[in-house]
Amino acid sequence: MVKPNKSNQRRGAVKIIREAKDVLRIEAEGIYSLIDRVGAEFAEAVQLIYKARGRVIVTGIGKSGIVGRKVVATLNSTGTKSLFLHPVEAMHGDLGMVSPDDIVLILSSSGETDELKMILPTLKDLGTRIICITGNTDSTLGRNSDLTVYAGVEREACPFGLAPTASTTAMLALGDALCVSLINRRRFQPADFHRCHPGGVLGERLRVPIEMIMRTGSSIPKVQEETLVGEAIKEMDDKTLGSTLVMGDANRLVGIVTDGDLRRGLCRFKRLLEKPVKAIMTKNPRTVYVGGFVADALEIMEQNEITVLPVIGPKGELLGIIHLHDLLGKGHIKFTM
Amino acid sequence: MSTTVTPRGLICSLALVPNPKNRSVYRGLESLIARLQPAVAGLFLDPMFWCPDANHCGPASSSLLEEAIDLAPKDLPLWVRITGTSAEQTTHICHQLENVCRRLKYRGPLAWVDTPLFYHSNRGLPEYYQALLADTEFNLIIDNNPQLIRKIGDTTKRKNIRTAVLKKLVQEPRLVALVHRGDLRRGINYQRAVRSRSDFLVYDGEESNFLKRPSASGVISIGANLLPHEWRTITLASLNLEDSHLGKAGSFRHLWEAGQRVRTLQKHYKQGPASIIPAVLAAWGLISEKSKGLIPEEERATERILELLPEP
Repeated sequence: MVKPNKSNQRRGAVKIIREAKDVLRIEAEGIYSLIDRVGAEFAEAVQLIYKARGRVIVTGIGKSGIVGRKVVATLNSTGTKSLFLHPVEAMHGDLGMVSPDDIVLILSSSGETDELKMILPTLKDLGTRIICITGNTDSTLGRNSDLTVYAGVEREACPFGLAPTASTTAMLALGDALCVSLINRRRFQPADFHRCHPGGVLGERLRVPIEMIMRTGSSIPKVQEETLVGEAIKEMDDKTLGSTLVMGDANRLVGIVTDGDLRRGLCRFKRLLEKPVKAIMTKNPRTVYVGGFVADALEIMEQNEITVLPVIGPKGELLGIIHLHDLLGKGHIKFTM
Repeated sequence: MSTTVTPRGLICSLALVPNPKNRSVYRGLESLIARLQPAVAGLFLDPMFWCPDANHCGPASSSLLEEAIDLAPKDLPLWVRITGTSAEQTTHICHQLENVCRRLKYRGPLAWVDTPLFYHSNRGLPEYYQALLADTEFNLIIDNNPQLIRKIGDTTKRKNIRTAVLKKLVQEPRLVALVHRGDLRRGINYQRAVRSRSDFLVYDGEESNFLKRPSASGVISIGANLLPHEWRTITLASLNLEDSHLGKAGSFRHLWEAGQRVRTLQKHYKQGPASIIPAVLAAWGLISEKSKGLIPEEERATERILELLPEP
């Protein structure tokens, strides 16, 4: 048996790498070129879906159909009710799932897909609003839709069009852009994501009870109101959370001192280290109740742009503290899932 | 309904043999157009392709254009080469051909095609084309053809249109398309440069590039003279102009087979398409005059193609 020549192997590898780079370049360029083409019709499509009383019915065939299924999944997981309608099944009765309140989202690179053209008159008769994402806005589907969003690319990466490549990537990216725009319109929050993703990794993290991950006992940075700032800094330094809680009587939380408070204190007081912490602390800090979930804590942190959150018990007593890193599994305490 | 001069799809560069006696200048034009017109989106009259010596090859002649206008369907886009050996000559040719159109009262989809770097540098190109287009009512397509420039043999000459120059060129709305021959990376850069014009198309000037990584606008094909329907099938599929091949049993196979046929023939004629393709067409009886002076390799390639395709 002839052994493969090493230099031939090397040449072969170089060729494979070059080809792979070409494909990635073409696909990247395909998406990049769409940036300038996203215009008013895309914004109208987002508004139309946002205001719709019904669901988003996504349809397409072949690779566009596969992209369509992914768009459906993303829409559903981000708070927009959505269904996939196979055009062939549609012709055999599934069109019954479409109601006039729904929005139909058609995906077709050519805009001339026979199976989609066949269901178009029925969709129009129903009075459903139709959005078409296509690479050919002057096509039958493009012309006959209420809104047509361009998703064309300059070049495909695969010969003969046997496997649409850059065009489907561009369509997928545009579908994601649609979903993210809707998330922003709907003010979709981590807690909503948690409700939609009980099984996902992020979903699982978000539904963990706060008490499972909070820092307790000696790992909570805390000082008394009369403690000097110099000692408070030492406490902050030891517990490495970038802040320390300030306690009043009966283990009640009265304030928090953060790096920001220290900076502001430096500007205000010449001899800051000798001042009591109550002079610089932020009073009545944001807290989270111990009965909540990680999703609730994350939401409070995001809304208030803070990274630590004291955990309070039913009687208002301090039970623990959580840091943003703990929520995301990057801190001292990690999820074991 | 007005027809665009730059349709997406297959543009066939006609393979003809110039007649030295200059009578009925290009024999076989009628039969060739009749054969090609159901399959192609446009025809390209490009003597630079069928003339073996680029340096002594002129642009399309008045009589050729006259014949083509007469024979081609009125809504079929015609691309006509105007490249001369200097800016003055090119402008003169353009005027001459324009006069033919005026005389024939031709208002159909026609565009001039020019390879500017054949006689001009990158410097001053936008101004030059502004002046050229001021005197013609037809649109212009530019051809970036580094291989042709290489044939001139001037090592100091730039082979490609500079991307920055192209950016300026596309500000002229009557410059409607670019034919790019050459490497993919440059092609992508050109596409980036013309992004400000959504109506501006970039065609692949090299068949092999298109077969490997098809551009979205179309291809200038020589091989379509031999296999027009196969080329049409592949072009439409590559450009996603039709989804009809999807979901139909056996049609992927049909597409693949068409691709293999096209590639196989291309392998044989690529060493001298200007000689080999007309020789095959002549053997089929589609054009009356055979190319002269075929070298032995070209003779062999012609024979091999005729073995594979004994008849059209």
